Amino acid sequence: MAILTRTWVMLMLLTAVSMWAGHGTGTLGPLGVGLVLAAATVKADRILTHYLDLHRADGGWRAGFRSLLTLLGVALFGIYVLYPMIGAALR
Amino acid sequence: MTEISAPTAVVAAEDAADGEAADWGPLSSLPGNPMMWILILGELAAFGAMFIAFAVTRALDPATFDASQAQLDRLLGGVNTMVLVTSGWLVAVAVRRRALGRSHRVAMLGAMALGGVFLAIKAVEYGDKIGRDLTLETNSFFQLYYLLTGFHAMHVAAGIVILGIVTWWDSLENLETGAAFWHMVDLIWVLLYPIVYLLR
Repeated sequence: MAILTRTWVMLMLLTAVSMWAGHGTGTLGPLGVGLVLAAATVKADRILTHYLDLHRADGGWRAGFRSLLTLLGVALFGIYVLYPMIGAALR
Repeated sequence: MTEISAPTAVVAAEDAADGEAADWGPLSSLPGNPMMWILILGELAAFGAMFIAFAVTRALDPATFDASQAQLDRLLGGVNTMVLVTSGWLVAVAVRRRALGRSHRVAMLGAMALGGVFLAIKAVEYGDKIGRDLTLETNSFFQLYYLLTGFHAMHVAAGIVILGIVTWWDSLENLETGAAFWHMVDLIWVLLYPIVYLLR
C-alpha cells in the first residue's frame, strides 16, 4: 500500500506546484509553461505506472505510453512557446 | 514486492480456475481487462487531439483566450484536481485491499463520494460562468472550455456509476476494470486542468 500513498503524496505536491507556477496574470514564459507541463506529464506517468499498474506490463507498453505522454507534452510546449509564429503562419 | 505481485497472482489463479484465458496478443501483458486498455488508448488519443486543437486555436487568438481564461477560478480547478487524485488513490487502495482479501467497500464509497464532490464543484463553476453570461456562445475559448470539461464531467458521472456496479459485483477483475476506467478519468483531468486553466 505504501507505494500507492507515496504516489498520492507526489500527485498532490505536483498539483500544488502547478497551481503556484500558473497563478497570477500575464503569460507564463517558457520556464513556467515547461514547469506546468512537466508536472502534468509526470503526474500522468505516475497514474499509469502505479494506479493503472502499467509496471506489470511489458516494457514496450511502458515505453509506448511514456513516449505518447512526452510527445503530447513537447507538442504543447512548442505550441505555447512559439504561438506568435504559429498564429502568424496559420492566419 | 509482495504487495505488487499479489493482485497478479490472484488474477492468474482466477483465470486458471475459469480455464478460458483469452489470447489478446500484445494486449495480454497489460493488467486487467484488455478491452479497458483499448478504451484508455482511444480516450487518450481523442483528448490528446482536443488538447492540441485547444492550443492551436489559442495561438490564433491569444488575447481572447488569455482574457477568457482569467475568468476561470484556477484555485477551484486545482482543488478539484486534488479531489480527483485523492479519489483515484482510494480506488487504488480498494483494489489492493480486495486482492489481499480485506474489506474494500469503505474506500470505494469514499472514492465515489469524492467523485460527487468533483461534480458539485464543477456545477458551482458552471453556475458562476453562466451567471456572468460566459456561455458556449461567448467565444471560441468558452466553446472549448465547456466541450472539454463537459465531456470529462460526463466521464466522471459514468465512472461513479461504474464504481458503484463493481463495488456491488466485486470480483477482483470487475474491481480492476472499474478502477482502470476511474484512473483514466483521473489521468485525463491532470492533463486537462493545466491546459485549460493555467497555460498562457
